[in-house]
Amino acid sequence: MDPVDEPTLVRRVQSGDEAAFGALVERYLDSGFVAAMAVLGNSHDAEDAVQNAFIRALERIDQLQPGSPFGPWFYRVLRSTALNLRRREVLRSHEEIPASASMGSNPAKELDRGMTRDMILDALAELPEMQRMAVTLYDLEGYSHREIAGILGTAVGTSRAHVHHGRKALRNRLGEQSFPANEEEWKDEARR
Amino acid sequence: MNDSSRGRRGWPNWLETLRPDEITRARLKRSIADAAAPLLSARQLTWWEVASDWASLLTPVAAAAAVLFAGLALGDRPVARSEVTVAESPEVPRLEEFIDWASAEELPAAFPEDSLTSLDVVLTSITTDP
Repeated sequence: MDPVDEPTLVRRVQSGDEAAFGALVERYLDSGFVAAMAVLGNSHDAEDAVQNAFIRALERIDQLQPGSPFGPWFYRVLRSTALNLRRREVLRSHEEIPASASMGSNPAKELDRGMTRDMILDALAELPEMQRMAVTLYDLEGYSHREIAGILGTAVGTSRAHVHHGRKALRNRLGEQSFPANEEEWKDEARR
Repeated sequence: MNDSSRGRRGWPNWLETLRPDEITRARLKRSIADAAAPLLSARQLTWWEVASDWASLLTPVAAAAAVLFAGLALGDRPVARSEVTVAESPEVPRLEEFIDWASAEELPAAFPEDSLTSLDVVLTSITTDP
């Protein structure tokens, strides 16, 4: 889906178009789930957060300024929903079931994927929430620091610092091979 | 500055491992669709209701306009037409007949003969008195 179509989709959703809402869900389902995983740390709560965020977004879609992109606004709603979910202490205390349990085409590979995912979630859990969200949105959507700052409600410089420190911490934890520095970070390092 | 299109070119590996599997995706999509259906229907109703509200607002305005125009149309009818109707009615006396009748019968009753005589007496007594 071309992002330039989002304002049109939003207008159609505002008039109750089911297909347009389905297109927005299709576009942001995976990335929303990953962002919620980064904040909440397990897939069951991430599912709840994503579902609630889409419904809250639908309820409030009239608040979205005409012509504005849906994505950054949706991530603001999603982050707020996830933080509320965590704040109310309704997080389940069950053990995370690896995604491999429901797949099974290549159990060894899926088990390895599950372990890697647990490692990543553990590494993310050690970061402050703002850094987690900033790094995830930066790598997930390729948002600019200005867009990330808008989502997090911080200054642009703060967003830049969150991404820098977050990526550096993840690289230290996961290793250079699984978390390579990007071009901008190399430039930042060179400047220091 | 970051490139806003990176998300569409694919995710880095560390994020790919967090992507939901197909079963999770299907479950999520179904639950979102189920929860969204009544809200979307309500939005469609809302638009219909907006149209209905406009219709209900415009109906009395249209009725008032119709009454106004009807009133104006009746007011434009010539007044002379009704006068002719009255004048041509055989049961209603014409204005000239009414004046004739009043001068012949009502005036003598209003000024009786005795009152004129008394006045002559008074005037005579005034002029002859030394």
